[in-house]
Amino acid sequence: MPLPTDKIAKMGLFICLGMIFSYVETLVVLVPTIPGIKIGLSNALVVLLLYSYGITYCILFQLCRILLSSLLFGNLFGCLFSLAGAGISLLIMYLLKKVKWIDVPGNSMFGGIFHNIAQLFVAYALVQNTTVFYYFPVLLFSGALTGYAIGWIGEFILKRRLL
Amino acid sequence: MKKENRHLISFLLFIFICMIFVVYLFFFKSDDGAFCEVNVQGEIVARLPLFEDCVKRVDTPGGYNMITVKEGCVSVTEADCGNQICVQTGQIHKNGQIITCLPHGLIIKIVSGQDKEVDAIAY
Repeated sequence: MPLPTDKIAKMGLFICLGMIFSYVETLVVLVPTIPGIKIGLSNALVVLLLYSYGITYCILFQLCRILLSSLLFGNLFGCLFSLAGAGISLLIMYLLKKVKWIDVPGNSMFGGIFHNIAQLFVAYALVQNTTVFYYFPVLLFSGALTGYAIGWIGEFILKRRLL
Repeated sequence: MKKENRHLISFLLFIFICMIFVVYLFFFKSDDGAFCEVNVQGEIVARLPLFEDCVKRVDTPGGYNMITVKEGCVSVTEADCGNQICVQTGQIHKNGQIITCLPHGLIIKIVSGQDKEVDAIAY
């Protein structure tokens, strides 16, 4: 599928911003006792892309962002987690956008929740121990809170019609 | 579906999840534990009592973790994993609390020592 030139340029900017957000998130540790709680800044970009450009650009954006940022700042171990979370949350957000039951922040909230759930299952596959689900209530709440807040930001930017 | 309804539904869902969390915080308070179990990739490799101070080195396929028990609290003081989350977790002492080191497949869990039937199955 050939991409139009203006979208290629904008995707470059988006991926750039997404990588910066990923880097900033590695610096900010919200709750040190529980791994996996993060702000999810790049979720705002995913919401923007999903509601303005469509799912194809979202997948492209997430793949490029995760691969590049894990090569630069993290390791392949973190890449596995991010890919699982991004894949599941994109799928859920795409389906929820299709059925039109909830608004943009609500959609982003479910994205955040399912991102955390997917990561929990990857952790379970790694340690083979159900104890990791001890984190589930906290991750559910944090995913909902940050997802909802980030979704509001995404909706504000969408209303400006900058894209 | 109308646009106002969509806003309302997502807001109510958000409130609902917050309430689940509040209920969880309210009802699931736990006491201090008596033992800590060290799991490596699904198998218990050590069971340390919390009332004795000790330092134990656990070797996993990915590397090592130094587990320190001090004054009833467990912490990982040193590890050669990439993200150092296990070290940053700090000290734990309550029942059910865990320290995870995912790169090594290691989980340290506080148990009460009274629920023997669970332990019998685990062993």
